Amino acid sequence: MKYQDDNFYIEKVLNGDSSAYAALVDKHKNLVFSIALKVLNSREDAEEIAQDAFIKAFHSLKSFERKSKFSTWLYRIVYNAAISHTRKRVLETIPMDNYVIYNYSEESMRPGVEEVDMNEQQQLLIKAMKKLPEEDNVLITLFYHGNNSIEEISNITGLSASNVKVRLHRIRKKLHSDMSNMLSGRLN
Amino acid sequence: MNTDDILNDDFLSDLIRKMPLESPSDGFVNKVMNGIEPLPAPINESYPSFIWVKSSIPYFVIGLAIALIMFSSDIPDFNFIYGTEYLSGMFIKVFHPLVAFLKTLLSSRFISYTLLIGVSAGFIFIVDKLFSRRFAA
Repeated sequence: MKYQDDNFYIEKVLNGDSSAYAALVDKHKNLVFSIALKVLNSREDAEEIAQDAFIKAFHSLKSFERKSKFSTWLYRIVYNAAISHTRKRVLETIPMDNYVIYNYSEESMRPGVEEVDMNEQQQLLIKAMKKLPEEDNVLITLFYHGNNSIEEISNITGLSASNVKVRLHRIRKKLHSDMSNMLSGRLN
Repeated sequence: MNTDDILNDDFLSDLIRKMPLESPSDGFVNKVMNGIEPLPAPINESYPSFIWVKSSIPYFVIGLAIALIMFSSDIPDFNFIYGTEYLSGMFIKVFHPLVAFLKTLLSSRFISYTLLIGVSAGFIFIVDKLFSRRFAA
């Protein structure tokens, strides 16, 4: 389905046509749900949080000042809601192995992984991503799937722009090394 | 190549982008739409107290009043209308019998008490109506 610009639907909703919001929900549901899922690791919880985030965004639409993109604002709502939901749980962040991060170059890891077929690459990637902390998965989703800029991700997550950039670099290295390790483990 | 380019330019980013995003259940959009209450239609905000500024009527009335004052004044060549002396004399002539009648009427104790009670009751009734309408809204 081809969508109009978000502002088109926002204007309609603000002028009393609430049904126009369905198009905004349909347009953003997958990324909103993915963000919630990355943080919560539970489909039921993620769906509930995503639903609440959309409803909250609808009721706050009048106060949305359009200083940022609607999607950035929406992702921030769902991200904060998901984080609040997990606060009761103790967030277990897996510290990255500094040796891995600083002593591997992406170039050195690339050939082995690139030699296997696409399906296998994706399987390796899924496994490697599962090992990442929730917040890192969100960063990856926002950057590569949501096509958000570093500044927008900083706006959504509350991390500084430089921190986002550094973390994305580390995540990439971590993914590369994990994928290489899994591949070599399989070959040996 | 700057840092942002590095983040975008390699097979890992392609691989991630090719991975489909997770989707919520089929009825997700309907669930959201059922959960929202329609926003009230926007109220066309107007400021009645300032609307008259845009109308030509008040300016016409003010102009008419100024003309009346000027033409009823004693300024030479402008006194087309009878002056205040003529008007007050005429008013006294017209209203004198009315005032005399009211004086006779109010000199009766029965009528003055009836009027006093009637006017007070009317005042209370109007005040009550005004307040009940205001607070009902």
